[in-house]
Amino acid sequence: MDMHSQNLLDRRRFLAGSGVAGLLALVAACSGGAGTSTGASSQQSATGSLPATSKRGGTLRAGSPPPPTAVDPITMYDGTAIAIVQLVADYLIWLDKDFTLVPRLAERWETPDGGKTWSFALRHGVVFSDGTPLDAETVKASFDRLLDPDNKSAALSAFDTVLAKGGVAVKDPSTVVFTLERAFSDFPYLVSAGNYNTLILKKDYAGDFTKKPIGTGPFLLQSYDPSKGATLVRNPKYWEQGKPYLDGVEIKFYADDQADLLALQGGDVDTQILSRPALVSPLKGAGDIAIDQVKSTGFIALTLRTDQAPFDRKEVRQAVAYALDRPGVNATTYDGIGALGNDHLFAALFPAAPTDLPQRAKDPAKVAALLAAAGVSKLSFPLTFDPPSKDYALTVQSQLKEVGIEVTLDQRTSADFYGGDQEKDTPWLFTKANLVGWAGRAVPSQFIIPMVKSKAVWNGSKYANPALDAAATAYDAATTDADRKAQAEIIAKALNDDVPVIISVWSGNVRAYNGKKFTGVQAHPASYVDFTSVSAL
Amino acid sequence: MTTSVIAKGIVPRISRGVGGRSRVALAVGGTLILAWAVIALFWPHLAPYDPVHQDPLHRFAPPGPGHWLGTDQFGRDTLSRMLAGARPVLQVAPLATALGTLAGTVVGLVAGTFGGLVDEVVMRVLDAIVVFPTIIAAVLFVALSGRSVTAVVLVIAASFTTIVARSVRAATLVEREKAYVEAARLRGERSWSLMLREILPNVTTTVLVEATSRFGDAIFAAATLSFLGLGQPPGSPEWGASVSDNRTWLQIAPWTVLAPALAIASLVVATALVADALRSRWEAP
Repeated sequence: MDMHSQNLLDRRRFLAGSGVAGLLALVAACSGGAGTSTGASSQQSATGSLPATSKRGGTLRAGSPPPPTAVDPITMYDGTAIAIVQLVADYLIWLDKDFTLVPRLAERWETPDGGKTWSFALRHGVVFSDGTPLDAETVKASFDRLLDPDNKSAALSAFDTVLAKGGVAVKDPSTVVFTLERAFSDFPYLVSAGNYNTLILKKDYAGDFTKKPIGTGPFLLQSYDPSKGATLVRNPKYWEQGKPYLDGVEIKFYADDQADLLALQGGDVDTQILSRPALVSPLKGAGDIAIDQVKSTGFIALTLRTDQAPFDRKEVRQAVAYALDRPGVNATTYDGIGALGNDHLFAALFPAAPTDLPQRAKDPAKVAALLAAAGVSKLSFPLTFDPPSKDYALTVQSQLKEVGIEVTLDQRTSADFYGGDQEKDTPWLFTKANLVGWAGRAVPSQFIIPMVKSKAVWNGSKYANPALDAAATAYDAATTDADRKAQAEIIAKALNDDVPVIISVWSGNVRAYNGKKFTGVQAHPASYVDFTSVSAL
Repeated sequence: MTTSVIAKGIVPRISRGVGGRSRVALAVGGTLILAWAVIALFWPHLAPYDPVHQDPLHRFAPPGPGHWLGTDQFGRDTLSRMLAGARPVLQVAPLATALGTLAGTVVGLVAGTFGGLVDEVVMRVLDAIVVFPTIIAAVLFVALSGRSVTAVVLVIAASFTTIVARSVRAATLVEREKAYVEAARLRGERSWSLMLREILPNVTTTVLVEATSRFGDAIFAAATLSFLGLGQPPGSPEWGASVSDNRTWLQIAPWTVLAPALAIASLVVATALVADALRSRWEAP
C-alpha cells in the first residue's frame, strides 16, 4: 500500500492510485469553473538554456533502495521504479514541485461541458526513442491499458467512479477525448504525474519495460540490474530542445536509508531519489551536502480501530489526540519542515481547507478528563508499524508516556505490515492501532474516499459516519468554491471530533545532493524526479 | 569404591601463581566489569534522564552542562541511554555464555568419551552447523521467533555450543587415553561414570577458559545483533542499536556514536583482560 510516507512517496510502497496535488492549477480550475484551459499559460520554455555557471555533460549518480517488484509502469508503486520510469517515459502533464500542472505531451486541455468531457491536444513533433511518432491512438492505448482491470494497475483506484474502460476516444491524430462517468473538475490531475502510472507508452507495450524501455522521456535506459541499479544515457530524440543537460544518470541501489545517505556523504553518489527529511535535513551544509525542500500533502496516519476497545470510545481516541505535542512530532519526524495537522484530511495546501477549526494542541488535563469520562484508568495499547514509520512511532511512544499512556511498539517488516488479506487480516488495516504512511494526493477526495468513508477499501479505523459519506459525495460533485468549502467543513469537523485517524503533521519533503558538483536538483512533493534541468558545476 | 584422581592430586594443572601483569589486568578488567554490572543493575538511579524521553527543543545538543554526553536526534540524553544500555547486554551475555558453555560441554564430553559412531555423528552435525554463518542463522531465527532477549540468547548460545563442544571433545580425547581413565575403566566403571567422575573434572580448565573467552564474544555478538536490528524492540537504548541508529550523524553529532561504541569497547576489553588473566592463572605450569 504505501511506501516511504515521510517522503510522500514511501520507500516501499506508494498508496495505490495516488496523485499528488497541483494546487495552483486546482485553484485555477476551481475559480475558472468548467471549460477553463490550464495548459498553455504555464507552458515551460523549450529553449533549454543552460545556467551560466553550469556546463553540459556529466553523469549524475543517484542512490535509492532497490525496487521490491518489477519496474513496470503499469503496476509499479515504489519510489525507485517510479523514478526510473519517469526518466525514460513521460506524462501528458507533469506535476511540478510547487503543485502546478505543467504541459508535457499534452500542450493544452479543456472541458466544454463542466467537467464531464475533457479533450487534450497533444504536442507536435514528439517521437518515441525508437523513432515512432506520438499520436492520439498511442495515448488512447496507454489509458485503455490502465483501465483494464486485468492489468491490475495502481492507477485504477484513482479512476474509480470517474473514468471507465471505453471512456477514451481519438478525435483526430493529435486530440484525445475523455468522457467521464461524472463531472470531475480535477480530472487533469488524474492523467498527470500525480497519478503516477499514467505514463504514455507505445501501443505494443507488453509489460517488459526493462527489456524494451521505449519512451518519450529525457533518458534512455541502457542497463538494469535488480540488485545493483540502472544506467541511463541522454535521449537524443527528446522533444524539449537542448535538454537534458546531463549525458546520463546512474542509479545505485542501497538496502536502507542510512547506507544510501552514507554513500552520499562518502561521495559514492551525488544525490538521492528518496531522501528522508529527519535523516537528511540536519546534514544541510555539512560537507558538500545541499538540500532542497518542499511542502507536501503526505502524512503518517495514526489509525485507531473505532470498532474495538479501547478505541471504540470517542473520548479515548480524543485523549490520544490531545496527548501529542505536534510541533515535537514535526521536529523529530520531519526536522520541522512539515505543517501541523488537525486530525482531518484537508491540508492547508488544499484550497478548501477549513480555516476556523481550532488547532488541536497537547493538553494533559484534557487527556486525563477524557480518559476519566471514558472510565479508563490506565490506557495501554500496542502500536503496529513498519520501518519507515519508526521515528514517528518512537515519538508517539515517548509523548504518550508523558501523560501516562503506555504504548508497546510492534514493528513489522514492510512485507508483513502490508501483507495478508485486505479483507480480513492485513496488519495495516486490522490492528488496534497502527501507523500508515500516506503519500500525498492531488485532491482531498483521494484520501477521503478510500480512507474514511464507510466500508471504504482502506478504512483501517472501521469508521462509519453517514453524514460524512454524504458530505464526501457532495464535495466531489461541487462545482463552486463555496460549495466545496461548505462540504469540506462538514467533513473536517466530523473527523476532528470523531478522530478515527490522528494526523498530527503534514509532511514536507527533501532531496539531498552534492551542491559542489551539481545544480538544479530539486525536491518534489512525491519524490518524483525531473533531472532535465540538472547540470554539472 | 572409586576415588577421583583429582582428590589424589594426579592432575595439578591449576597453578596458584600469577604474574604481576596478570594481576593488574585482572584488577582493571574486573573493576570495569563490576562497574558495568552495577550500572546495569542500578541505572534507573544513576541516569540523569529517562533514556526514552524526547526533548525536541534540544536535538543534537553537544556535550555540556545539562547533557554531559550530549543528545541525539530525538533530544534523548546520550549519557542516560549509555547507562541504560548496559542492562540488555549484561542480560544477554552471561546467559548466552552459560547456556552455550553448558551445551557445548555436554556435547563435547559425550562425543569424546563414547567415540565411534556417536562421535562421528555428533561431529558431522557440528561441522554442518559451523559452516552456517551465525548472522544468517540469527536473522532467520529472529525472523521466525520475533525480536526478544530469549531469541538473542538462544542464537548466541547455539553458535557457542559448537565452539565449546569442539574444544571439550579435543580435551576429552586427550584425557580419555590417560592412565587414570584406563585404571578406572579396569575397575569396571561404566562410560557415563567415567565421563562425569573422571574426565569432566579434568577438562574443567578447558571449560572455564572457553567460558571466559566466550563471554567477551557474547558481548560483541549481542552488540552486533542489535546493530543489525535483531535485538530488542525499537527505542531500546541497546548500545549496538544506538551505534547503528546514530551513525548517520557521525559528522554533526559524533557523541551519539562514540558513547555507545566506547561502552561496548570497554566491556569487551575488560572481559578480554579478565579472560587472559584467568587463562594465565589456570594454565600456568
